[in-house]
Amino acid sequence: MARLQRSTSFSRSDEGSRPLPIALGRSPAGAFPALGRAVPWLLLGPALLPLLALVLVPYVGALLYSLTDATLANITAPAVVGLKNFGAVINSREPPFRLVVEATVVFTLGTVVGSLGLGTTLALALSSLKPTARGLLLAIFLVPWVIAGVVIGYTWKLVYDPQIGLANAILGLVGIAPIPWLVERWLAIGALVVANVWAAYGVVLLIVSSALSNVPRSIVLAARSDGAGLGTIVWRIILPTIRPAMLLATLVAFITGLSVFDLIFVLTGGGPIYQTETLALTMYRLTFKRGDVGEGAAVTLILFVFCLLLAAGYVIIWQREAKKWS
Amino acid sequence: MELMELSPVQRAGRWLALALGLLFTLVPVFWVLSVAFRPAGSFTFPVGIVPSALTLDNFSIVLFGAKGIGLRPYLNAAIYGLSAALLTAIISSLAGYALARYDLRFGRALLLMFLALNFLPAAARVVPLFLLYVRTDLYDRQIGLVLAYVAGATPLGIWLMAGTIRQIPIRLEQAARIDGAGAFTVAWRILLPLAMPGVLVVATLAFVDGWNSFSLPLILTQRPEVQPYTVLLRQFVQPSEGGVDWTLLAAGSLLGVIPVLVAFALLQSRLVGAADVGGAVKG
Repeated sequence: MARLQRSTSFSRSDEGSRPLPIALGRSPAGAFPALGRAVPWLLLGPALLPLLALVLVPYVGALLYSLTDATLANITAPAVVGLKNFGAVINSREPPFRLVVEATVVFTLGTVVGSLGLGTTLALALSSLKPTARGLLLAIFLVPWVIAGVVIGYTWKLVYDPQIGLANAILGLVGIAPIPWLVERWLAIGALVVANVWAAYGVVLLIVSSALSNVPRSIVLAARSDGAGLGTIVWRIILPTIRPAMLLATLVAFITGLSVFDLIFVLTGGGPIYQTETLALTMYRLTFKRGDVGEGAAVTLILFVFCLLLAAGYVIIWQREAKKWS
Repeated sequence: MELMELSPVQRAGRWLALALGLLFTLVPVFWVLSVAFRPAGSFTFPVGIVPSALTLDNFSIVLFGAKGIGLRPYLNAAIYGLSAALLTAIISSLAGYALARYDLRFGRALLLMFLALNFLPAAARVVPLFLLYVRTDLYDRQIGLVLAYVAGATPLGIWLMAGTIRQIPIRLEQAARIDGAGAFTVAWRILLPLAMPGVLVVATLAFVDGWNSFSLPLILTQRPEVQPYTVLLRQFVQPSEGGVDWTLLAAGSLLGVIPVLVAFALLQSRLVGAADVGGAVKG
């Protein structure tokens, strides 16, 4: 998901290319007079049905399950226990819920700051290159973005491994003793953040690059002839101009950080002893390792609400921006 | 065209940033290559950064050897990716057309809903889908997995296709109609060729999502015969005799990367343009 969303100026073009009210009227439905107004809904049907059946229904199901004591062994006829599962998750002792929240927040913020910083810096650096060099470098920078999360996990497992890992091999060259990268809590979370930034900066770069290619060169030139320096141009002219894209990139980075599963699953599995467990890992552990479907569903809903809030916030801000533009 | 002109110092800074970025991007890739082409058991400690000997054995062991995972997991991933790509492209094109061309009462609300659904990550979908699949007998079935991918990929697909179709002048359709072409002729002969760049982007993204997916097949399937390489690579991490089979893990991972790199190389020229589907037509 969230691989390539760029829709920042969608509604501007929205108004511009509305079908003109000529000849065949406002819509091209003329060919199926018998079906008439049903045509667009017939076209939308194949899209709406799977989304209803495979997004809406499962979430209603998960909501209901989160109120029961269902286990993997007893999925069909669980008893209703109300909000007990949510209480159990939040008051969990092993590991304390606070530990998971802390790891999730730090991991997410690290991912956001790192991938926005790196992606935007590289996009700006690329924007001042000639098109050929820019295209070539962009293609290389996008390589991590297309690789499967689980393969990225194995890639960094090869880097961090205490024995055959590249990180320690390099340290060895300059005479530093091997470091167990994935053992101590904050070092491990830091290592995971670096790996996830590697995975996530590409999409930021892509979004920001696309936006930069639309910044009118004239406003940059005007600012320059008014005597503005590079820093002023970037901070005061370019970044505000591409604010919708920055907003989108921020949201994508947030969700990549919040929901990451494959990478942590492969690299640390949430361990050692829950030290790097984030919400997504808790969800997996409760549901499939402990078999506590009710509690697992409760964590899924917590995760879902966070994603929903982020997405809703984005849609609202995006609409406000779109209004400003039109 | 370049966006800015830089002073020599700024130029140096730019190249430094790009060089560091390249280093960060490529060093882990280099290491996977370096491990994947090493003969098994040629690790010395401390491990050498450049391999002392090169071999292709690891790749053939992964695909055909007794210790490997075989060709099947890669074929499975290809089947899932291609099915998801085809279905997503068709569904998104139809829905995108409806949203782009009809003045629907809830059209804008639907578009915003699809936009929001884009941001629903796979990790937040697996447990609900697992529960549904167990209750409806879709669990451990290939069709179930493909449907899950399609549901995940269509929101972005619809959004991109609506943008693509909006850019095709409606007068082309109207002119063809006046010349007597039917709706299917218009769709097939006029709209599809013009919308092809968008369709290809949507299909490629869906393919890559299906090919790369891990958490969905991990949780929604059980039999190794239907699982993709992403799930089965784990075999190299926990082989029964203990320890990690590093060379096979690296080789198996690389085999999983090649198809997506090819897909994106074919698409590369369109990619930045496609990321800009919304902005291409201006006021």
